[in-house]
Amino acid sequence: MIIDDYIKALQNKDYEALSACFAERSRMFDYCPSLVGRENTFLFGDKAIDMYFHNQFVIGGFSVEDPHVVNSRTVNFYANYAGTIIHALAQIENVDDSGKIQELVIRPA
Amino acid sequence: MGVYVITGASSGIGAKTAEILKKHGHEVVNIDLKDGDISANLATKEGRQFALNALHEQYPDGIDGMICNAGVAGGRAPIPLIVSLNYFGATVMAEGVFDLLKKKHGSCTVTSSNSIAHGDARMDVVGMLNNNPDEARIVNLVKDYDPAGGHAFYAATKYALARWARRMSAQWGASGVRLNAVAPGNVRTAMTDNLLPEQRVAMEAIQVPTHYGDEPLMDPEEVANVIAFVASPEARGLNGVVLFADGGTDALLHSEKVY
Repeated sequence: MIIDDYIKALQNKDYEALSACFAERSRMFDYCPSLVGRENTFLFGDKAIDMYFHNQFVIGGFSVEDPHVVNSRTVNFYANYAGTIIHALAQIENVDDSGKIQELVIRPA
Repeated sequence: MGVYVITGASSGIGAKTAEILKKHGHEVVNIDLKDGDISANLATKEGRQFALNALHEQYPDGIDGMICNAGVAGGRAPIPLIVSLNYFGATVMAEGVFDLLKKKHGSCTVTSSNSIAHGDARMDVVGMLNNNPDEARIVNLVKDYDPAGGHAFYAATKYALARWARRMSAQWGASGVRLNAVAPGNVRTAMTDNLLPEQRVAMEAIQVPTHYGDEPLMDPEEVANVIAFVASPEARGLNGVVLFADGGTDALLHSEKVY
């Protein structure tokens, strides 16, 4: 399932594997950062996701801990934004015909 | 054709900018520590004064452009050098040629950095530089900091430089002198050739979208062309702007900041 690949990539801080979960024309919104005084994240496309998470995993201090899969489209986890942790819920809203994510939204759980 | 003065044009972005301006038929004066048309150490008051005296002597009728580009990266350089060269070496030189720029309704362009948007800058130092720019006291305050933590000071000087340009631009613009900042991304220069291994890893984590899957560093020419344009009369609509010439890195990491 794509959600397993997504979680594995996040836990391994593997930005290339993470971007491979997404379609070329896709979007990923994260509404949690504003809770810790940071900009929310709005990314469009697999390459943008690759580059953004390359930054976040290597020097941005972002990580994911203790993921719990709710169903094939939903996972909740602790998102660590450079030391401040938010309990978050990631929801795959759409996938394309090949099973890649077209839209994923992360909200506070 | 015009007269353009560039600091730090013996290598990197400055050298490329000088080359472009010369191709356009302009006279270019390079002020640098080594191999300059005017050799001067802009990290010192004496060096700046020497360079300013030489410019006033050589160009009493004015200059068309001042490009304050000389700078040093954090990591190996002593913190006082970063502060003195990056901030005072730019602002003192710019203010010192303001009279020459006014004579020809010229422009001043300072080289900042897109690191100003990454939240790395020591904002306390930014405040001191912009609000109480007493070089001796600030240098004395920072002199014992470990150069390994120099990036925060580098970013602070570049942030303060961009803010200085924004603050001064109204008065300067109304006096006929445009003042702007260009904020380059990660460019292949002598500075980036000398980064520590951990700095290189961090630098490569700051991705340049227009270089996706390719050479991670921008070519100096990509930034130099932007600086040459901003300094030119064709850019007369630009004043008080901090223009990111970073291949889209700032937009990637901070898409929500539109102003």
